[in-house]
Formats: sequence, structure tokens, C-alpha cells
Amino acid sequence: MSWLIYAAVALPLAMAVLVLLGGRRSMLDEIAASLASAGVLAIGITLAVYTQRHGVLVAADGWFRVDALSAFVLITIAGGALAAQLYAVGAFEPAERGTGIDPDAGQKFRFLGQLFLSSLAVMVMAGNLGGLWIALEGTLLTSALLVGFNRRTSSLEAAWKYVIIGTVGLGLALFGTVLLYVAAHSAGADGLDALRWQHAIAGVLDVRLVKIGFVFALVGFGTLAGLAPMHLWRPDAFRAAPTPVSALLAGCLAPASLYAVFRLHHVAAQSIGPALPSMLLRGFGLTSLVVAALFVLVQRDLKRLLAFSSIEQAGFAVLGVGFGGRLAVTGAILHLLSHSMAIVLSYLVAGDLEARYRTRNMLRIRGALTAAPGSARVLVVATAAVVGVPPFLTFSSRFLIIYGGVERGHPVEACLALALSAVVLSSFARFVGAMTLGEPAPSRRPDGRFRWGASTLTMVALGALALLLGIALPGPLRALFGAAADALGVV
Amino acid sequence: MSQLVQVLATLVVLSGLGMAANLRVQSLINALAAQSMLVGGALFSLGWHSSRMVAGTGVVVVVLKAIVVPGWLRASLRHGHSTGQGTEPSLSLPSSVIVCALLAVLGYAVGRPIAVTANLGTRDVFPAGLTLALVGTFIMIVRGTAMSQVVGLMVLGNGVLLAAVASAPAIALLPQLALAFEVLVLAVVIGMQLFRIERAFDQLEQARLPRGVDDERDA
Repeated sequence: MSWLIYAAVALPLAMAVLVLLGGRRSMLDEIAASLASAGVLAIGITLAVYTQRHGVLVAADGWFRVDALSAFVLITIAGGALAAQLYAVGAFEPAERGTGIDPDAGQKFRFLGQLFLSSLAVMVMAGNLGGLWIALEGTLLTSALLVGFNRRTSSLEAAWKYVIIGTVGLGLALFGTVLLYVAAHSAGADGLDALRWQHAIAGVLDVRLVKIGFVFALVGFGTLAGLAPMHLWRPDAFRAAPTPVSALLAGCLAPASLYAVFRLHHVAAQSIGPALPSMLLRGFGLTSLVVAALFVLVQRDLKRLLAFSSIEQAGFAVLGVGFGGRLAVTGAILHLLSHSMAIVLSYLVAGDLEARYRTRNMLRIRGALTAAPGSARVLVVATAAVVGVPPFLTFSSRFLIIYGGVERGHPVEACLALALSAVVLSSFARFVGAMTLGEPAPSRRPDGRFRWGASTLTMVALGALALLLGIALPGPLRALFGAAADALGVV
Repeated sequence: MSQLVQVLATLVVLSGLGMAANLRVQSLINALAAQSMLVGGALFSLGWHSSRMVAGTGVVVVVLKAIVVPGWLRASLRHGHSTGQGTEPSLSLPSSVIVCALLAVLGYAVGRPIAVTANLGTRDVFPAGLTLALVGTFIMIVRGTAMSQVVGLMVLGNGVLLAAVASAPAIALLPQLALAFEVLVLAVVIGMQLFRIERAFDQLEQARLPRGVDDERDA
């Protein structure tokens, strides 16, 4: 079955080559790119079933290692990529016209998007810290090109900021990796063995080396995960990128980077005990929640608002792992999926509103319920999903994290997280209420025509999925979350 | 040989402190070239007896980071593709030097015990690498031009490379990872040149002045 691992990497790569050879724009390319993402999604599901029945799958002499957690994150990122690719069918033609995007934008998006997906697949299936780091480097390069590909000055500035901050993060992560390697090496491991998860968690590593290495690597991987205070690239990059790219970054890069943080925490906690790693994760988590709660209050740009929501969600996820225990960790893993669906949906509807009103300024978007009722309804659903209103799946994951935190003896942090998420919820309610209710200004009358197409269907499907999974989580999916929590050593 | 490596490592740290005390982009590029020559020399000396991979990495560093990239950056300045201009650094020069000196103290205070604990052969190389990585990160944070940020990034790369090789000179895996980081740095340099980043930033600053925002969509 190890061929499945290679297929998950090779399928998007092959599609990238086909897109490159296929010319400027063809419907066939668009469908094929979506099919490649769907293929990776199917592989992720197959791997999830396999790992639950037969255990861990290893390939390429240990460079690849897939357990339930890897398979679950692969499903999450492939689902996010599929939604972004489906939305992009035709999106670079009529909807984004006049935004300065060049005529080859669609082809570039499909090409870079497939490379991005391939490097993410390598990242979540890497069997050791070194492989994960190299894949993250590939991810940074492709995503930076995605952020800046329309070459507007603001996009270039955002891409540059992303590259510089991301590269510093990668440099620090590499330093941490080196220290963890030295720790494993001095404990008797050699070569690739010293970087493997199994050896790293054997519990024989030098405590001081692991502590320092963990701090460096956490800051490094946390930078890409968008944890505050290393989040500075995220609002600009998510705002400046075209809508499908914002969705791709929020829905795929964020969960994959958080996966790296989870793995790292597991390695450190097994080697030196959970006290320091968990405390640092709770610290970064709460800082992210505070930063998000403060900055959502003063936003005017819809995409920046969503970027701060994404920072809040990253905070929630690491807070869950920092709390520890089965409930909170399962909540954190579930949060990767629930937030990925909600934030992708939110970016897609934000792009739809931007195309209709020709602005992202929330002060200028008014009366959407009257002028563009379809988009307004999706916006309300997306907002409810992203801030965690019951019965959406995000509510379940947040509930598990907070309840798990109280159960594990962290009531203050849990209550603080609850209060900060209430601030974010009220800010979103205020903005969305103002955008949807009332009458649009005569000078800003939106294009209210309803269009059935791939983008509309994608949004409806995502909204329905976020709602239905929140109401009733299927048994196999529940079992997968349990197995993923087991992979993080939760008892 | 190990004495030579220690002298080179000390000179590398001093070159990093010298860069923090310099605002001119041209001087920064020259200092980077000299520093990369020293780092390449240290790697070559370290790998001469133990690992061809490490010695080869030293040669690559000298060719790429001491000759090719600095030459390219100088040409870019000469031809006006990059201006070398930008916002004022967020810290004055004396403050920068003091902060970098403190970072050097921190680097040695943390790095030396690690080198001793892990029984690394060359005990001054690892703390020198750590110090250089911290100084490079600092230069990137406080300098306002794309060109000096790239120089800071390359200093960070030198630090990571030095620390990685010092950790396990006989094993090829870590130098390979550090080289992969250098590839990323090189890609950033190429990106800066291809997209004329500094020119783009100048336009952005000018566009912001009269209206306060870039354009309607970015409001």
C-alpha cells in the first residue's frame, strides 16, 4: 500500500506539469486540477482506513510515515485544496476581471496550487523532522509565489513580507531541528534515525538540548502556523492574494503548519515531560487569542478580518494540545478540520462579495440581504461556522477544547479563551449585521444576479458539510479522531 | 587545524558585529562577502579530514555567497535595479551594536554548554553559529531595505550552516539540510531581483502618500 503515499505526492505534481504544458486556459485543465485534488482526498481517506485497520504505513526507508493523524490532516488539506480549485473554475475570468490579474492567472494558479498541494502532502506524511522541514520550505516557496502572482505592488509587498518572516521562521526551525538532532545523536542514534519520530520519542534525549531545540523549532513552525506574535505576515498575505489563494492558504497551509507544531510538541513532551512544551503552547495560544480579539475590533477589510479569525483558530488549536488530555487534544485535531472548512467558505463568500461590490471595505458593503440575497445568506452561514455558533462543527471543537481545559485543571485559561472568543463573535456579528442589513448606497449597488456554477455549489456544499458534521459526526470519523489523538500519545 | 577553525569562527562573529555597526548597503554586501569567505574556510577546514561533503559545502559557500551573490547584488545597485534606499532602521547604530554584543554574549552563554554537553569536537564553532544566526535575524528585523534584509537572511544562513556542521561534521544529513536552507535564501535573492522588490516598494510608498491607501480594493 505504500504506493498510495507516492501517489499522493505524484498526482498533483503530474497535474502541475500537465497544466504547464496545457496552454493559457482550458476548461479541461480546470477540471483536471480539481480531479487531482479530489484524488489526493480519496487517497487520504483510503490511508485513514488502512492505518486504522493495519497501523502505521512506512515507505522510502522511513522518509515517509503515515499514521491516523497524518491521514486525517491529508484529508483536511486535500479537501481545502479541492474547494479552492472548484471555486477557481472560471473565477479568474469574469469575477476577478479588472483586479490587475494577468491573463495567465488561472494557469499560474493551477500550476502553483498543485505544487503547493504536493509539498503539503510530503509535509504531513514525512517520517522525520528533516523531511518535514524540507517540505515546509517547498511549501513556503510555492505559496509565496501564489501570494504575489498578480504582481500588484501591494501583493508584492505582502509576498515579500511573507517570504522574509517565513524564511526567518524556517531558519529558526532548522536551528531547533539541529539541536534535536544533536540530542538524539548524543543519545546513540545515527544518520536518519536521529531525526525519526520513533527515536525522538524514545525518552532518552538530553533534557537541556531538547528544551532549547523545542523553543527554536516551536517559534519557527509557529511562524508559518500564524501564531502570535509571529503572525505579522498573515493579514497582509491573506488580504493581498486572490480569493482562491487566500482560501488555499487559510484552509491548507494553516492546518499543515499546526500539524508540525503538534508533532513537535509530542516529541518534546515524550522526551522531557509535558510541563514546559504544554505551557509554551498555552502561552502562544492565549497570545494569539488576545491579538485576534483586539485586532478584529478595528478591521475594515473583510479579508483581513478573516485572517485574524484564522489566527484565533490557530490559537485555539495549540491551546487544546497545550491543555492535554483526550478531550482537549481530540478537540484540537477536530478543530483543524472544522476551521479549515469554515475559513475556506468564508474566504470564498468574501471573494464573491468583493466581486459584486468591487470593494473589500466592510464600511462600503451594505444591504447585501436585499441586493444580493444568495451571497448574504452564505455570508451569515460562513460567519456562524467560523465563530463557532452551535450546531456548526467549529462549536463542537471549541467546546471540547474548553471543556477539556477545565477538566485538566486549567479553568482560568479556558475561561479566558471563552471570553476572548465571545469578543471575536460579537465583532463578527456587528460587521456582518451591518453588511447584510439595510439598503446599499446608490453609488455602490452590487451586481445581485444569482449564478449557479462551481463556485456557488462549492460554497453550498461546504456550508452544508460544516452544519451536518456539527449535528451528527459519523462513527468512522469519530474513530479517526480517536486514532489521531492516539498518534499524539494521548491517554 | 582546530585552532585555525576557532580563529575563523571568532572572525566570523566579529564580522557579524561589524555588519550591525554599518548602515551603508554597499558596505554590508562587502562584509557579507568577507564573512562568507571565512565561513567557507571554516567549513573546508572542518571537513578536510572528516567529510568530503562538508569540505564541498565550504567551497560552494565561497563561490556562491562570497563571489556570485555579492557580485550580483553590487551590479544590481550599480544599474539602479535596487536603490539600497528604504526606511530608517528602527534602532540607532550605537544601540544596534550594543544589542548585537548582548546577542553574542547570549549565543556563547547558551551555545558553549551545549557544545560541551553534546561533546562536539570544535567547541567554539557551535556558539559562533548560534551568535551569527541571532545577529542575522536582528539585522533583518531592524533594517528597512529589502537589500539589507536579504543580507541579514544570508548572515542567518551562514549561522545555521556553521552550527549544523559543528554539530555533526562527519554526518552528511545536517549540512544537507543547511544547504537546503541556502537554496531558499538564494530563491529569495532571485525573487528580489526578478520582481524588482525595492522599486515596487518605492512605488507603493509614493502611492500611499497622497491618498493614504493603496487603492480602493485595499481599503
